[in-house]
Amino acid sequence: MFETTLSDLVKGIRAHKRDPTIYISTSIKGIKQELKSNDFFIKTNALRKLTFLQMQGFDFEWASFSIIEVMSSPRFAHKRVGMLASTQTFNEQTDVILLTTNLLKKEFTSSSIYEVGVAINCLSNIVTPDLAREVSLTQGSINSAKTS
Amino acid sequence: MTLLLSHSQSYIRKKAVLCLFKVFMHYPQGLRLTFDRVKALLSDPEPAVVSCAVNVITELADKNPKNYLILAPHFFQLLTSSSNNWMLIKVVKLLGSLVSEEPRLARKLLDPLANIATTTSAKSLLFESVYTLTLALPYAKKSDGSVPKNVPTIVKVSERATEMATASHIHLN
Repeated sequence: MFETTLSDLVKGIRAHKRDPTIYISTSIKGIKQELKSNDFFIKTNALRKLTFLQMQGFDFEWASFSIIEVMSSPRFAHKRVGMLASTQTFNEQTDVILLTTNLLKKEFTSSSIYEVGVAINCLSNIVTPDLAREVSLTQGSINSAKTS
Repeated sequence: MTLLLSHSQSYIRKKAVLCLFKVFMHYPQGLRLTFDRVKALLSDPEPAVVSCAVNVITELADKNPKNYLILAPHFFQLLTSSSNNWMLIKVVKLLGSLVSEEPRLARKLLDPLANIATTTSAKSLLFESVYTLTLALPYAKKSDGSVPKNVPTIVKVSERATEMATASHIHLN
């Protein structure tokens, strides 16, 4: 399979200056296919394009789950793309946000400062009351464990 | 999450404290549990971390100044010892939101603020310190009704700064 990169997408949109809608909707179809793939490289590439299109004003609620999948990739380069996509697309109503709780907690204990850093960044952008309680609660339990 | 506040890398500590602000916004109860740790960061060896902690506390104090009065001495010390303009702006702002709660603080602030206003070359810091001075001046009266000696000079300092600001404004137009 030969997939297009983000710069191909941008070039394509510019080439169809008159009416880019058709080009974009075929691209979105392609992205949907790529997100179904099992290869993290293809998925990440698709997300990168999706994030760009999101900034053009398209809504991508349907991709939330794929975003979380990419966020949980073991590679930093993939995680970073996933986290960026999540900060762009998630909002208070996104129900899959709770799935990120454990993911983020795991990242916080990572040994690489950049992995922790990107997770902190992500949390600060997508935080909801529930998520906030979850990340603070662990602290409460640690405190009580310390005092007892 | 709050464990990260005592991470060995300053890069993480500063990011974590900034992120906590967002968490507190959504989950105010979390503030009570972790505030001591945020307070501890004010004496962090890394100036960038202190700066971030000041930032967070300033924003929090903007909403509810009462709870942060106990930190006033610490910030007073930062105000007189720090040379970091960006942090000073925040410290000045924070103290400005505290004066309405603690009139005695207002009298103590007058001299250091006037000092900053006369010596700084940064317009933004000048603006903030003069603004805080105007907030503090109404509270400067002593309990017996007398006015501290330095008030007239300070009024003059603020006046000159304001004049300068409006003059350059007119010039721009």
